[in-house]
Amino acid sequence: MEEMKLPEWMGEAKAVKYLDGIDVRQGFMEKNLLTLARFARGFVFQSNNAAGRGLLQSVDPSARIVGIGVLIVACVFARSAGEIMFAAAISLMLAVFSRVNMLMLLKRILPAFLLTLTVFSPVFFGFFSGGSELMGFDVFSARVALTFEGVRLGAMLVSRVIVITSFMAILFLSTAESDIFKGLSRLPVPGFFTTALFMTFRYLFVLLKIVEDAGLSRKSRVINPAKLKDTQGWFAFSVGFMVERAFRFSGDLTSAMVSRGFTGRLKVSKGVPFAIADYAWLGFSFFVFFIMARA
Amino acid sequence: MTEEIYSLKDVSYGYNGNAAALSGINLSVRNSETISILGANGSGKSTLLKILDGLVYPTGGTVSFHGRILMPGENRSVFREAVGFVFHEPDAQLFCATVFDEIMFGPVQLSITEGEAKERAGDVMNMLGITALRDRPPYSLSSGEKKKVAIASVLSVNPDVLLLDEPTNGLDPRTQVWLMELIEGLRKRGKTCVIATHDLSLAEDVSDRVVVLGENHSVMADAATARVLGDKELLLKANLIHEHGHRHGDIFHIHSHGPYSTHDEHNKG
Repeated sequence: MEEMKLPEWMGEAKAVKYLDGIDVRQGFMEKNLLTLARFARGFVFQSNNAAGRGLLQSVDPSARIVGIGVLIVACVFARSAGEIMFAAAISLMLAVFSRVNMLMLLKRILPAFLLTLTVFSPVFFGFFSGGSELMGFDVFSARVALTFEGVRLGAMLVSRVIVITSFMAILFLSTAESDIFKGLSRLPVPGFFTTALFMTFRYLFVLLKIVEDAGLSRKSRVINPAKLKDTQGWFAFSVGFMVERAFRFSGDLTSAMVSRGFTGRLKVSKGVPFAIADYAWLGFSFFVFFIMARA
Repeated sequence: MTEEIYSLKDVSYGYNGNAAALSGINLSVRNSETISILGANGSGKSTLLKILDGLVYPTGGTVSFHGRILMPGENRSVFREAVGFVFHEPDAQLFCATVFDEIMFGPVQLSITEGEAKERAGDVMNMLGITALRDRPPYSLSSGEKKKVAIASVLSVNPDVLLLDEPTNGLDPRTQVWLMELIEGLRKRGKTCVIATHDLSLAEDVSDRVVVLGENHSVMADAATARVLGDKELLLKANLIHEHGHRHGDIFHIHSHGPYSTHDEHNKG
């Protein structure tokens, strides 16, 4: 067999540049794409307290979802600060008795709090809500002032969002992702919705891994951070590649489902009937709802 | 002679009107046979299996299953119960929340009673040694574990025909041996297995018959295993083995790698 002829330059020794001790500035991709992929994977798939033995963990996943849903709707009906505080106390109690990690819970509530505060900050001011002034200042000829009614309205709005977010976070932190979808599939939720949601979740993991690997493989061939424009171009191309890959995956996935008897309507196995604990939990949730929703 | 299960007559297939993935395939599969479909990458092995599973339909020719031509638009549960397909890529095949749900999926879709489906799932998990993985999400498993779960998810339907696409791909040696033992066990139970692979040792160990697809996407050979795998020229032509030379001191050897490696020449270098 003939030896393969290699080009001359492959035989040249390179002077390797060691970058130890040099602070390499991170480029757009390193900062954003890889961090985002890792964060998303960690946030979505982070180990939760689902395996723990707590209040919510002892309830059937379907009952858990319904109960939390009822509590969330109850928060919507809360009309006073006292009722929202009552809902917040229930949320805290659930978190404690379900042995939810408080730091993880706070990490999930904080973005919702900051976003809501930012978006609805005009509500705190007189030019939006009116009412008696608490404190203010003049900007050119206009008066910008915090008002009592504005602060009350804004505080109720923000706290309502925080409590609702906390209920959702407690559900996800106390329930394994597999149980969430299993629970949904046993409720009168359209099968298509649950299937589509699960498939999106399932393949998000696969695609995030591909994104991360693509980013790392690019990083492994780059010494200095690329120019922003170049990286953005590469990023745009990667998004297109991901879409193509997703289409191919969906084709293979459909074939795999059809191969095992799927005819377009997903059949699910019947779950275990609700136990006394499940009914007690549902009873508690509806009781809170009726208290908050009373006329 | 045993009953003919599949009969492919002049089957051709092209993806989206492009160059053919299969060309003029004539093939017969009999009950309880284990057949290996050998071919290099891109020869059409996976496409052939998809046609056998009724997932795609030929653009030319006919495919019959137990004497009845498979037609597009039909999705008979009887066919789906009788034929199981283990995909090359486990990630495409494992789409349920837990391993147990995955194994239950097929029987539930085919309206097998829940009690029986659970019993089958338990038996299959025991048989394949994956009971400990029952509540794990499939995406968190290793490659070997995914392959076992993929196989379990098909076996729970209890198909008479098993189509396996590159089953040993990516598996460590111990798991490969396990797979060969499983196929052997299924053979003894009278199952019909059609295995697409370019792993000649797998074909040699488990197959009654070997079909070779050439790089022109048509059948180059269809005969007993020993006869096909003993034909070095055929295997070289089909890009299933390669030849290379190496030196032992001043002696130069040329030989092929495959199930029947031989030292052809001894030259002084």
